[in-house]
Amino acid sequence: MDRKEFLRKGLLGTGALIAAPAAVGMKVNSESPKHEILGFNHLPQTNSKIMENTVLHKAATRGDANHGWLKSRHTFSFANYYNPERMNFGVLRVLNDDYVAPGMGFSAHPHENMEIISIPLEGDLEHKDNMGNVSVIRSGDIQLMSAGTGVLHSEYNKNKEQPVKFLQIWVIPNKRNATPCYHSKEFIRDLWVTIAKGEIWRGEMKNKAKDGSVYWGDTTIVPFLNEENKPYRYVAIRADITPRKKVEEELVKYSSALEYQNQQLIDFCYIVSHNLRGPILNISMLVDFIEKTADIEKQTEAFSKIKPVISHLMEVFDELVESIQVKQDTEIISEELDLEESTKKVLIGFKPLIEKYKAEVHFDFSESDRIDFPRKYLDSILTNLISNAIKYRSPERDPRIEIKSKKQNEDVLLTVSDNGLGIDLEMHRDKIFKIRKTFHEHPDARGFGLFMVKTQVEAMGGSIWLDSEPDKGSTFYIQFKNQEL
Amino acid sequence: MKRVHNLAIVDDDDAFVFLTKEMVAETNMVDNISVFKNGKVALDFIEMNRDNEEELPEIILLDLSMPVMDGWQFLEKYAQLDPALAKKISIYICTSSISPDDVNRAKAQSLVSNFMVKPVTPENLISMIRQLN
Repeated sequence: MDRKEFLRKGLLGTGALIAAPAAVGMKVNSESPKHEILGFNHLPQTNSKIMENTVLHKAATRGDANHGWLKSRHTFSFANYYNPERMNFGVLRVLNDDYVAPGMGFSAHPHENMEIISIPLEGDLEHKDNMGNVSVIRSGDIQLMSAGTGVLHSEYNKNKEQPVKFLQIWVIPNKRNATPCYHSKEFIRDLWVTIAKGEIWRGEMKNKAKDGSVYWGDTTIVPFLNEENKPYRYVAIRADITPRKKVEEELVKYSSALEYQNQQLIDFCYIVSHNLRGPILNISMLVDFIEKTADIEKQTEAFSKIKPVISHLMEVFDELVESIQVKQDTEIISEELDLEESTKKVLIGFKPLIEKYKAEVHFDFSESDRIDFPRKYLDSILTNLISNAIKYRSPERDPRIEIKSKKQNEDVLLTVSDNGLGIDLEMHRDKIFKIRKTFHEHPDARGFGLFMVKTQVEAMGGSIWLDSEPDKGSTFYIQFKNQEL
Repeated sequence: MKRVHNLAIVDDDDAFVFLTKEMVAETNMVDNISVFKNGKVALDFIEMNRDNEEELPEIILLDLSMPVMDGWQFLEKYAQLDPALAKKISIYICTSSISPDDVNRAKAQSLVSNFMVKPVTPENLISMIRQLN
């Protein structure tokens, strides 16, 4: 955009406009959202009598600074340029027209109680501040920082080939010592586009207060339109919506817990529909058959088939009861468990199988040797995973099992790897942890172990997943949450 | 009425297989019954006999819940095989599931002739064989 054009058409509007949300400041003060009108910002009606509210500063009459890497023209007094006639225009205190050589810039420096707007005209400008914001803005972007009680920031031309030209605008806020905040170019663009169209803009902003607490502000900016439906005046309204946001966050938490419960319920219905109905039908059909057939031999055969169905039914029933117990056992107590000791104890039970199949078991808990978890569940998890690793061993090699633990921030990750048959994940991924799903023809496969393991891990807030390749082996990952021991 | 030469049951449920075989024998309309314990064994057999009209079944009674390869996975792989087969095979899903999800999913499968919720009765079987003719 042509600079003069930009200044004439845009700046007066933009500057004052921007001051509205900027001046909104951010402050937590009350329990209930209190709405307050933060100020009106008048814009000159550009279509009429423009000169009446205008002070003309010819470009050539501006202050001038040349530091080689930095060339700046000051519309108002700034740094070494001082002109008591040119201190400000209303709340507009600084309007610098800057040129920064490739790779150069302003290192970290403080600001306070100022609304600082940067508008690049050419090149790239990188902003960094002590609130954790890093952003590169280019021609067409607008960046706004409310310094409030104090912000440390740097601005660099990161481009090694091209200079950056930008306007730096300071606006005096209508409230002192507001909490500092930063508005990204996306935020500003959305705001600007909305109100320029004469529409009401509304935004919610998460901010950090000085004491580190997070709070939320809701800002509404309402444009007033003239006869030509052009905005000429704006009013900004701010409300503290932290309590509402907290409730919303709680709701999201509850909703995902509900979703989980609902999935459990669907699984449960599935089990009843698939796994209980089948055996019951079989028993009833076998009895019907025995009643109807006159052939004694057939009768005996049918009769012999009833017992396995009944024991199958009992098994499914017991599993259902067991899994419901985990879900209801919300009061189960976690204790500090030594991973090596627990593993060794579980392995004692596998001694005959380990010897029989010449299995090698290695473990390494040096990185994280303790977890806070219910003993019963850890035993079940280890037992099921080790048992699976032996059960689904490859006939071509001696089984080798590796158990390791790793620290991951506050969590502990336990991995159990084997060199067994593996599972075709492409085919079975969504069924691995489902009840009554088996992936190999094994007489002892019941499809219950992994279902139980998952139930127990998830009951404690953790998660479980796996990597596997057919004929290579499987690795199970169990994440134990919040293990700050 | 035309007899069915081969009927295949793909199901791992021993009691169901026994009862269905008895029922099929009772209808006296089927020459041979073969049983496959899961989708994979059945698929391997069909693939091996893709050109062998004599061996391929006219009817498959397919269970959904099976180890190794379940009914849905079988259908997925079978779809690729179907155009190359020497015989037209009618597939009937037989399941103890009464979940509407399964019914809808089965109805969406063009390869599936019908969906039967267990128990399978002699009447079901006879009408199924009639439909074939």
